[in-house]
Amino acid sequence: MNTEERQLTDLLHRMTPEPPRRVTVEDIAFRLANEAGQGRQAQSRAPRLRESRRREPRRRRPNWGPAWAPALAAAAVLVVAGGSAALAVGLSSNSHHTGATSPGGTVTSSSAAPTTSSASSAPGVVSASAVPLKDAPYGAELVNRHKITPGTLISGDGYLFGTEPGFLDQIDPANGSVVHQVPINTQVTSAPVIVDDQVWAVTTYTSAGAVLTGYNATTMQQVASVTVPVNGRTSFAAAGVLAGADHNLYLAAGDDIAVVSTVTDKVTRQWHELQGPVNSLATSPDGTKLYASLGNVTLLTYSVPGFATLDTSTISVNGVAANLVATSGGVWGTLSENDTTVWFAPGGNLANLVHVGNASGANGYAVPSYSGSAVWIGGAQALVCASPANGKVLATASIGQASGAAQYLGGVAVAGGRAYASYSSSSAQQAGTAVMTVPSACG
Amino acid sequence: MDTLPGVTRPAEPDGFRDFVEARSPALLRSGWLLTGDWPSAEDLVQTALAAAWPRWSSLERPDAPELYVRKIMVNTFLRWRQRRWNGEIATGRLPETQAYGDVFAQVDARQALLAALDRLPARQRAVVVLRYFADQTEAQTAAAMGCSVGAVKSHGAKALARLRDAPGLAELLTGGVAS
Repeated sequence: MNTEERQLTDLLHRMTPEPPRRVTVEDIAFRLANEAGQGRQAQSRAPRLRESRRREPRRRRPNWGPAWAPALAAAAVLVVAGGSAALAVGLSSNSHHTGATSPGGTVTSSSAAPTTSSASSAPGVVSASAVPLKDAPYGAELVNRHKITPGTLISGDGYLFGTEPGFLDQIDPANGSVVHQVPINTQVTSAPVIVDDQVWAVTTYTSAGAVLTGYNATTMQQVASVTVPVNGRTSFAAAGVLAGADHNLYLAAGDDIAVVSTVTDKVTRQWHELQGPVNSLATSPDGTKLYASLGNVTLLTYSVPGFATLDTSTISVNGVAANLVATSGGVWGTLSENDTTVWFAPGGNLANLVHVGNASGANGYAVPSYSGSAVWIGGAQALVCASPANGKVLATASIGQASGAAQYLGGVAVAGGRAYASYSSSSAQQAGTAVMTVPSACG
Repeated sequence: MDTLPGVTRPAEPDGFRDFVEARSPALLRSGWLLTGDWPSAEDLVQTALAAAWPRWSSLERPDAPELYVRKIMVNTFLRWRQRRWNGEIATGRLPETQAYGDVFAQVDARQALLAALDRLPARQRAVVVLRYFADQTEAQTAAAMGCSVGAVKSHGAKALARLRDAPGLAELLTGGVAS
């Protein structure tokens, strides 16, 4: 090896963390027994041993002429759609993708739940194939295997929307199935925003420029795309960089804050902040205030639509404030130096900052979300709901371990009277969207 | 542990338990580098071990079962990558400034590493993991991936060139963040 190769070897050994748990023989035996019990062939064949290697007769390659093009295109879509559901073993009944692409690049899945009639299901009725989660609160059940990034799940216009690596998903709350997927930049973890009847996502976020893409919230057809110039470097946290209300989107664009009109699909205003970069933005529930966190850390309050600075407060930390959420009582967020707790700044002033709950722990992180009537804070140890008016914790439910593996629940969004959350555990094939009963204290 | 009704647990081959207990952390770390997250890494390792179990007693090289398991892992990973949509969209959202020496810089550096690995084609990523993390020889890597030694060298060189140019990784390669 040359010097560069040795450096890479050293880097890989240095930076690769220890796994949170080990694989056991019991895990493998359980898997083999279940596969045998279900009469399935293993999804993955082992390479043949040399002594048993036999050459299979080569199949004739069909002549894919022009007449095959539509069928091949449809098959390609199936591969795309099936890929996202590749881990949906055991849940395939409610996440089959059999659709086709739409002009906007949307991957559609037309069959929601063969075992249930999703089209006629009332909101809140979850597929019978949901998998109960042991030692998880509020009757949590796993309803799909799409690993929604915590903090990106939102509800609106009758659907849930969230991002998973590479995709913006539209989820039917009736059965948890992903109805549409559109490809987005895999590195962006900011939540989508619903403005009017459109769902907007940051589909590219680089220091060279950002792209916001709008989709019809029902059909997920792309309806607009706006390129936003970025001044300076974009926020590394890239969590909560997009906010929106009343025909306007707000984007943290490096050292700038950009305002995009969803009526004209143009940047209507963009200004520079000296304390940048701008790390996160949020709008107040009534749409009259815009909050921005900058640097390490300043919280600014602007009036809307005039964008006059109403308040400024600063704390000195070795981190950035991200995942901003605004409620009637103030502003919530995370600090990258201590992301196992969520802070609440009453009135949007950091001078009065308090920490809310200690919801997370090892292998997890807390992200606030405001949905339904409460602010939700998830994690690997507890799921907390708090009052949006004063930050008071209303209910705390512990999250146990499942077969020795830590479980994570967070990024709650309420739809159809039920609470949906990102779920993952360190055990295999246990990640996706969970649905829970909304506790009365949080309802 | 529960199994399905009427299904018996398969017989455990000799030496399998010792191997799993001793080597699963290392295999999981390789899986993490290949897939980028722990649940997928664990799925990958379990898939490979489940496939190896029935053949454990007749391994071509009983003294080197790890080579066989890693071979299954990397081929399973390549198959998964073929099935899944892989929109390799360039992005600049990579760490550009870091405060070295604290745990958050460590997290940031890991994200930079995974982001850089994400930008590699699957076979280049596999070579990086087998050759430079699992410390396999070029011949062993070639055998695992079913390609020539020359192809391994080529994939390795291209991967190094891409990683060298990946934002945020150059300083890590020269020893930026303490573990």
